[in-house]
Amino acid sequence: MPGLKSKPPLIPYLLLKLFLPKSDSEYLLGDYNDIYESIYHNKGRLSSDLWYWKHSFLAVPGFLLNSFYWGITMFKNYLVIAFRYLLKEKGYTFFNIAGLSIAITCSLILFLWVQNEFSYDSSIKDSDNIYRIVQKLEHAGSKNKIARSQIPLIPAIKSDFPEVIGACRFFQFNQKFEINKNKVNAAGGFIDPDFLDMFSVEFLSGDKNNCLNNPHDILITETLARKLFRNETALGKVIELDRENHFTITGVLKDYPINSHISFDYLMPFEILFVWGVPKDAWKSVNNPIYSYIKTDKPIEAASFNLKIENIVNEKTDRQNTKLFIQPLNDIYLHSDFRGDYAGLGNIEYVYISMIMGIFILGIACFNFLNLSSSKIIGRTKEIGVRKVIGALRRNLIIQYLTETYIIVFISFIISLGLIIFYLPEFNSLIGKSLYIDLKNNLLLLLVLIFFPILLGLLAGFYPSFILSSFNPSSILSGTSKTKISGSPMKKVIVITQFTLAISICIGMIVMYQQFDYIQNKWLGFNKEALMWFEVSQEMKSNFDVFKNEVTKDPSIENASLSSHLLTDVTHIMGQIDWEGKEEDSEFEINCLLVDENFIPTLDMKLKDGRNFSKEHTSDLENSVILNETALKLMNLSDPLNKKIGYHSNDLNIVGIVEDFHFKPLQSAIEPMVLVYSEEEELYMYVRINPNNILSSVEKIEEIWAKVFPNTIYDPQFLDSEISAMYSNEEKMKNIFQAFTLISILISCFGLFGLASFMAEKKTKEIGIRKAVGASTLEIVYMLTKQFALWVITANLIAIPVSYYVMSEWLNSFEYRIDISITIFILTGISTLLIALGTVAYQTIKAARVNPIESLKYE
Amino acid sequence: MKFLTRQEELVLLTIYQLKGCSYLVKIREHLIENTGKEWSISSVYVPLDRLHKAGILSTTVGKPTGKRGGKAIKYYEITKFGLKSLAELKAINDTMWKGVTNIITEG
Repeated sequence: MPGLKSKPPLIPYLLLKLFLPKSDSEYLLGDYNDIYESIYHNKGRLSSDLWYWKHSFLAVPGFLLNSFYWGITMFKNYLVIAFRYLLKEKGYTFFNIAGLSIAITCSLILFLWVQNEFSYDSSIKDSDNIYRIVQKLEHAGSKNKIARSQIPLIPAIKSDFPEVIGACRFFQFNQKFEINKNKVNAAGGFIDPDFLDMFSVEFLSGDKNNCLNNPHDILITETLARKLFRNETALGKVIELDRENHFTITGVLKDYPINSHISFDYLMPFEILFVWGVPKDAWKSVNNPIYSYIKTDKPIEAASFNLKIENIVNEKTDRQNTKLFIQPLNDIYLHSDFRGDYAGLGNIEYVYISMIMGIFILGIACFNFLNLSSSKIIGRTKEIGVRKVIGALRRNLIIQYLTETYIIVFISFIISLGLIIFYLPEFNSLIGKSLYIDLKNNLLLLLVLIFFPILLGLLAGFYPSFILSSFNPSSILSGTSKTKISGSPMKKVIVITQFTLAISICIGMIVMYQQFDYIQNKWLGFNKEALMWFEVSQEMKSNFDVFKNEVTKDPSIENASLSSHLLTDVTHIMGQIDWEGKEEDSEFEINCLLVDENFIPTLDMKLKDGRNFSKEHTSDLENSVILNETALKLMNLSDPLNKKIGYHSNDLNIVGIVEDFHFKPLQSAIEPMVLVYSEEEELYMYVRINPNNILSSVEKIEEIWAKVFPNTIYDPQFLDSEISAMYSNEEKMKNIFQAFTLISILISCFGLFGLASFMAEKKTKEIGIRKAVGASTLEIVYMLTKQFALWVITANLIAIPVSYYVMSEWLNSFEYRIDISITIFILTGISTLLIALGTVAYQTIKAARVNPIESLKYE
Repeated sequence: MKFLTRQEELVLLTIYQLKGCSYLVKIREHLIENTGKEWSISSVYVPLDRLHKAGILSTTVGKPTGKRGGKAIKYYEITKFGLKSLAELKAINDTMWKGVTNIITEG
């Protein structure tokens, strides 16, 4: 420092430089030097240094508080001004807030849903080392990836592989329990003991290590316990499955987390199945919903392990072509694409679609905001000019306009949170999940709630603030500034992008809706309306004929039949079939359904050739088959009737050909199928009733049931709900998509409305002149709307090819699909045009009607 | 109507007493002498700043002197509005302090 006899100590000096208010820092530093020198002069170096140290540190809090005080005061000022402005421009504010809050609500809900999907099976410890064993069966023209496994597979693996530290099966089976005449449905299954540890099952009572020793032990969850026993202790009690089977409760479990791919109310030991006569060594069949899981001590190399377990199966079944592979547990919920899998699995594709939808909707709202605020800028150039002249720095202006933005974002957020809390229950029932907001445990959500508005405000606000603050005050105030914003390409791009997004979503939704509608209503080759089904007990098998005779006496009950499988769940496959003309050494496995003579008539299937099974042909039973058309095509028999197909050592007589029917979801093609006339293995009964009087028919059947099957619980179900359940995922997505399409169009229209009002405002002068010169109202309206129409048309032109491509790709995953017709595009194009023009019309007509005197008054 | 804080009031009175040539160092000296309390630089500066922003004081910048290592001095003066505020302040004080003479001898 020039002129000073001695320099003050460095550190406090730097401190002062840091904290002194910029405007007065020079003077204050001078004041410090002044005093420093005086003391130095009077009392020497040490005293002055000490003083300097002391007073620099002492002063800092005061300076900080002062800056803070002024900061707050300025901020209060910004808030007041921002509120005043927002209240003045009610339309602008309303559309901004409305659009933003709807978009934020949607994206937050989608976020919760996506987070929930990804959280499945997270309660399972060491899930990285747990795998499910799945297989690929190749037969007759199609490859089947199947999630189920053979019964003896897990025991074989458990003994032979050191790297496997846990192995278990889960045989999914729903039961009806009866306690004190109280009938309760329970989901669950049969397990091996390793299941409890592998799947982190928690016990409320009972001994984890000793609970499934006896085949008649059972574990139940707390909810089931409450249903059966109210408030009494369940442990140790006995419950009935049916007259012969009593089970002792050896443990009560905590309810298993909903976000798991397995769910159960009860668990029974696998052993009980063998007590009931299920063969222990059935290596060849994968009919039952048995899922095999293994746990390893460290991650294993898939290819070699797969080979090893394939060899086991090949050995035991005398085949070469078994294909087994291990599927990581964490992949099961979202990435499974198997036949015979659990119901209610999710789909990673839909997760991605939702994420994209959320981002799209947010994008639309942000574009809205950008457009609306940049439109308003024109009207504020004078204000900015004046502020700059008074002394506002660019920085201050940016802060001011960001404050405005943040107020809007903040209010929108509050409204969204309110909307979410209000609508979440309804959304939950729409998609069948239970999403909830739990900030204490959901750290990610908390972070999102904090950072999302901050980012949103920056995103939406930074562009207008920058533009605003860059104006040159003198040119504004003198009226000579050229405002570049008005026709700026940015605005065009924003509006067009917004509409492209909305139109794409709209087209996508229409196509999806049509496809799902098609699937739900397509003729399946059999009549699924008013078709009841029941699980068959031993008693039912023995008395079936009596039942059928009684039941069909009633005119509203048409027919009844027994079969081995539910039509939606056919997994019985016949291997090693021979027929005339079959290529040597080629292996085929054909779907097989065991039925009685009533099957084809009950299900209303059409025989194309030959005849149905019949009791009159005494040789039919156990000796006859009916092929479907696809099977016939596969076997390539020219004159199939009365030819034989060989199955193991038996010869079976082909007595008829039935028209193809769908027994798998419409995503897959119809496969070859053999109907075998049999009275073994009948597990399901179908009853066809007249659709006009369903309720009374159900009651009548119940009466007859009580007489003929007194020991079996009457549990009527309808086949069409099973079929819809196959598409429940799609149905849910359809609903969600419908809602979000409307929302994105709504938000886009908000933006358009605001934009239109701005444009009309801006052009008042031009309109005034044109009217004065003689233009009619109609001509003015045309002039104003032409621009908007052009934008909407451009958006359509972009959206159409893009959505066509994307939707075609999606439709390809369905074997049976609709064609995307041109009418969709034409319809969407015209509707969007009409909606846009309608939105804009109000503003433009109002503007065109204005008396030119009013608009030109100030010139 | 906003009251001045005690510090602001004292600083304002000091400037009045100094009758010209009031800058931070001098004001601070006067305050320390007459109130008997230790004033840090910021505790003088902050009231000065507030009074200035409130329009009670006006500032002039003087020439840099060698003594301060080349930094200029900021001088503070009371504005017309400031004098009015001061008068109001005095009126309030007189009213409120009326009759308060010998506090120590009473009770």
